[in-house]
Amino acid sequence: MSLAPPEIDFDELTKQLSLPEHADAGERSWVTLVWNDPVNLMSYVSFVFQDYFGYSEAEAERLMLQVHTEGRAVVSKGTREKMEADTMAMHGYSLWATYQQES
Amino acid sequence: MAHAFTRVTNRPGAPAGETAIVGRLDDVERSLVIELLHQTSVLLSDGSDDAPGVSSGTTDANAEDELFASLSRSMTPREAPSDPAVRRLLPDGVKGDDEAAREFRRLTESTLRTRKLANLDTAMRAFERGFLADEEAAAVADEVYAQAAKPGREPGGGATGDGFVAGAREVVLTPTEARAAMMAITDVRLVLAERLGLRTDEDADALSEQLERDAPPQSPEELLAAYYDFLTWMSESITLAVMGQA
Repeated sequence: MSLAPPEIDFDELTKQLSLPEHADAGERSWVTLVWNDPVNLMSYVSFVFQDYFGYSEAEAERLMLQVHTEGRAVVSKGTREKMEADTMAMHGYSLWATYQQES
Repeated sequence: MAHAFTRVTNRPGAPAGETAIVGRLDDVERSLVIELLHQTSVLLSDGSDDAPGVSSGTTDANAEDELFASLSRSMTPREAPSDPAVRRLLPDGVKGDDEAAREFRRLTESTLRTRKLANLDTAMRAFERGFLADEEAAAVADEVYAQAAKPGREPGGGATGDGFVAGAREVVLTPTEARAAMMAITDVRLVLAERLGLRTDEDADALSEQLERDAPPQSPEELLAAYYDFLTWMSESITLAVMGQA
């Protein structure tokens, strides 16, 4: 029997500390929503999603259609500060966006 | 008559590889775009007590007072603008939580307003470039501006200018100007839409039907609708050119 302290498995510990639910509760619990309006053009909305978020054309198109048909879409997730910045950026493009805690 | 915007690379006389977004507008159309950008800019400046560029103080002391006043205003919670059109340009960032909405407004509204005014200004300058220097164009612009100041009167020949017209002139935008123009024109359209009571997709469909009848505008509201329609076309055209699809 050895008196040496048990070897700590740092890999395992790291894995435990960064379980997905931990990350979700802390850093990824806010979302930015973009709301449908009758003014913004589909081409423009799609442009904004590609331009600001760097989404692919297909992803931007999917989100744009979701806004159009469902009245809104979650366009980003992250910290509250990031969602505030994203919301402000969307307002800069004249899209109406709000941020809230992920439901 | 206007021609759609397209992306043009290696224009004669331009630096090699430089891309420009090029369209053609007749003088009435172009004057109208400039005037509507200007009016939106004024609306956005007037809608605020701390907007840049509207300080009435001319002496240094006044400027300093103004600066401190604006700093202290940016420290206090802000209510949403009372004009619904301005409110649409600077909307709430949070739903169902007034305090959080006010806090968001306190943090962002002033910056957002400055950014929008800068876009409107960039777009205005780009559309004015090489245009108002031309005597004939300047005369048309004066006429359009004068009539725009008297709501209820229709500019000669209507919004799309079948009356006036000499040929259409080229409008050349740098990529940066084209982006600013996309955002600025969207702001103008939001203001026009609010004035037209355009709030739902059904309202927009009804407006399209009205415009499809293609009758000359009879009322101030129909004239605004014609402006809105023209800017919608132009916005789509610039967007597709910027996205490389035209």
